Amino acid sequence: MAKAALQNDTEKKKWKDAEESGNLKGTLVAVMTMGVLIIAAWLGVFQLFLNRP
Amino acid sequence: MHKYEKIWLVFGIGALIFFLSVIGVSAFYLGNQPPSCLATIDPDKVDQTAPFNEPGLKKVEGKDWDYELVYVAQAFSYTPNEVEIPKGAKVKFIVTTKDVIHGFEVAGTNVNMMVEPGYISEKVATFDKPGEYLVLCNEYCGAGHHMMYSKIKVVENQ
Amino acid sequence: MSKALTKIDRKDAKMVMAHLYVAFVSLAIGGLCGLLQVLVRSGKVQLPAGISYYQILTVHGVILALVLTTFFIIGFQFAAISRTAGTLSNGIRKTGWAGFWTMLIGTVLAATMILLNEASVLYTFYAPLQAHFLFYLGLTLVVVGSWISCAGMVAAYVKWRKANPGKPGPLLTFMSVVNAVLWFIATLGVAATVLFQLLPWSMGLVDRVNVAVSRTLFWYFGHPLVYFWLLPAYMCWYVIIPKVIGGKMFSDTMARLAFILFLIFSIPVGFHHQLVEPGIDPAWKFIQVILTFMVAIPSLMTAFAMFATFELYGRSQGAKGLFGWVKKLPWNDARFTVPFIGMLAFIPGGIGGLINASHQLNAVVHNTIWVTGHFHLTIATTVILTYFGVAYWLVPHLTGRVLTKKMNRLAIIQGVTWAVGMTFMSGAMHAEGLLGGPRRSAFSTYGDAPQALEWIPYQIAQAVGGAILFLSIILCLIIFINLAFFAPKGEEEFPVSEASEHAAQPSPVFENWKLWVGITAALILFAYTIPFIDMIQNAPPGAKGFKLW
Repeated sequence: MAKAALQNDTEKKKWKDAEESGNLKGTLVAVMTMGVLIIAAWLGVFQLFLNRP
Repeated sequence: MHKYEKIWLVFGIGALIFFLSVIGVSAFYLGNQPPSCLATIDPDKVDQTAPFNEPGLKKVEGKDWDYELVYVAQAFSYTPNEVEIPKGAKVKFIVTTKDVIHGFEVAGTNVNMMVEPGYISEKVATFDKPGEYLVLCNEYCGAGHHMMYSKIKVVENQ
Repeated sequence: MSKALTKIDRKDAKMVMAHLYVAFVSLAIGGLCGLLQVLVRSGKVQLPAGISYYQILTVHGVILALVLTTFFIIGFQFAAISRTAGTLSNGIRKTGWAGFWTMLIGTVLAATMILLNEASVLYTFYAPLQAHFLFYLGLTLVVVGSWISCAGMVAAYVKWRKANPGKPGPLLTFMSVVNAVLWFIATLGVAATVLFQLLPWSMGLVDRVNVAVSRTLFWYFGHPLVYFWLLPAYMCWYVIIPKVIGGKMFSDTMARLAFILFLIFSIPVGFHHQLVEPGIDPAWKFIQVILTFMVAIPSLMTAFAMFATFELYGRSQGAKGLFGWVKKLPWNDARFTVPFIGMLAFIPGGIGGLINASHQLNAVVHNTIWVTGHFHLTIATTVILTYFGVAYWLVPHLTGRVLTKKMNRLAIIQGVTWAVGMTFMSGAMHAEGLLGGPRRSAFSTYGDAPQALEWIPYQIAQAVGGAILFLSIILCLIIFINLAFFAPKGEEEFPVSEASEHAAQPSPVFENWKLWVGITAALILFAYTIPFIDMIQNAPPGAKGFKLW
């Protein structure tokens, strides 16, 4: 019984750590890459707008 | 919120604010607004209402632009259907429709606007390079929609 | 008292399945039209029997963007509510059937008019092109039917809340209700223009119509329409996908926040579809552009949540390094992979959307085929592949069958084929659009204009892409028919994920409906009142009706 409770707490801690600590580095890189794509594409069309009659 | 989500949202919202600032300054301080003419006209009397009673290219004086180019759109043609513009001219396009909604797109330029019955559509553009531009209807207007076009030739000054 | 079941009640299942039959028949018809369109635009094929390109285009838009979507969404949302808030009461189920039949009758009426070439006005039916009044009446019935059904959804939610005081509504049910409320508010615009302008005008009761007002009411509806489509896809991503992959929901609270942000910011933005029109002050256009950029924020949040869900799951399975978690995802499970392709498509799709909404930049792309390329990414890939990815488990769940390994493999092929076809087609559309190629246009060389001749190779690429997409549609239909009628009997899971146990219970503020509907209404009034009154006060003489096809 105590062992199960201990395992449950360890599970909880694993998730808690995961959610609040740095284990989302890949996510950060992925979204920031997306962000760079957004800015690049937008600037590209803006350039087109500026250079056309 | 996870700290990386905070970073991402600050960056993302910052990018959005950057975009809005650039287009906001360009629109409100540098005069690059999208075509938003508020003038109205009786759609049944287009042919009798100036300047649409004399469509075509006209040199003007004392204005911010050199020429006015007046078009009448209808299903399925533009009048005039061919125009020559001198290279370097700053031209104000003035367009209206006699029937349904049409598009007025000068392909490869920023002259691209809706033409609606009862309203006048205006845009100023400068043509620095000689060449031929296709003017076409890009809003569905009926069976002949894809055959509704006109031509602009930008020619070297004599 | 209703409790969440893991298997939907069979009577509810039958009502939901009826909606899916209509959705997939619509897919077949609309897909065939799409194929004909790209073939005609390649310049190599002509339509037989004097059928007009624009008639086919009208069918394509109406049946895919209005019929398939609405039927699928309503069916899926009823299923989600039945699964998470409990079996529907007899009254609510009957309401669902009443809505279904009303929508179906309306669909048949509108479709008949289109097929008789009395309504070749495209799915936006802009005045003063004037269709037969029965077309408008048919669409009215579709909207009214959807109201009946959405009222049933809200009733089921209210019932659950009364039976479970102090508890937040189950997430899928909450999300369905947000979408239903969004729909009620959004459809007011199209209902107003159809009931007060287009119907009397097309019936000959009035001679003229105010075109600017009609367009504005339509686009008041037309933008939130795309969120009505998108939100059920997000429901799948937030709540169903984590269970499919074997992980947990990233954050119930952030998901609810995203949905509330969609509710308040989806509607006061219609002017971004009217940026190059006369009759609207550019200051009001820019205000609605700002509001449009705000509605991008919940999608930015969603992107983070999805990556986070995948990464947390992957790391819980021992993945190491920056992207080791990618390998841990169940790529062999179509219930994940097909929606995932949809997620990827939203990256270029959303980027294009930001460009489209950028005020004066819109002139670069307005009414060019770039716009068509854009929405074939967002609705015709992101949303529709997610819907397919849902159908692959939902259909067998409803019909008491299973998603077999064979159908699962075929589904993955269907998804990948779609991705290939769409890359060709949408990619070529974006490029041709930047070169000035128009949308909504049959094949033409515009008098052999050099600029127009440049567009033709892109249209050939679109035909190649479109043909591949049509093959993918056939695969999808084969899978649907199999899962509905022939797959072996058994129990197919309706996956619903849980939030992690320690996650805080979502705040009751998310279900303070008076607050959120109030803010939504205030924003709409702010964004629209003055320009709308201007349009009416400064109106030119109205336009008479035209039938130019």
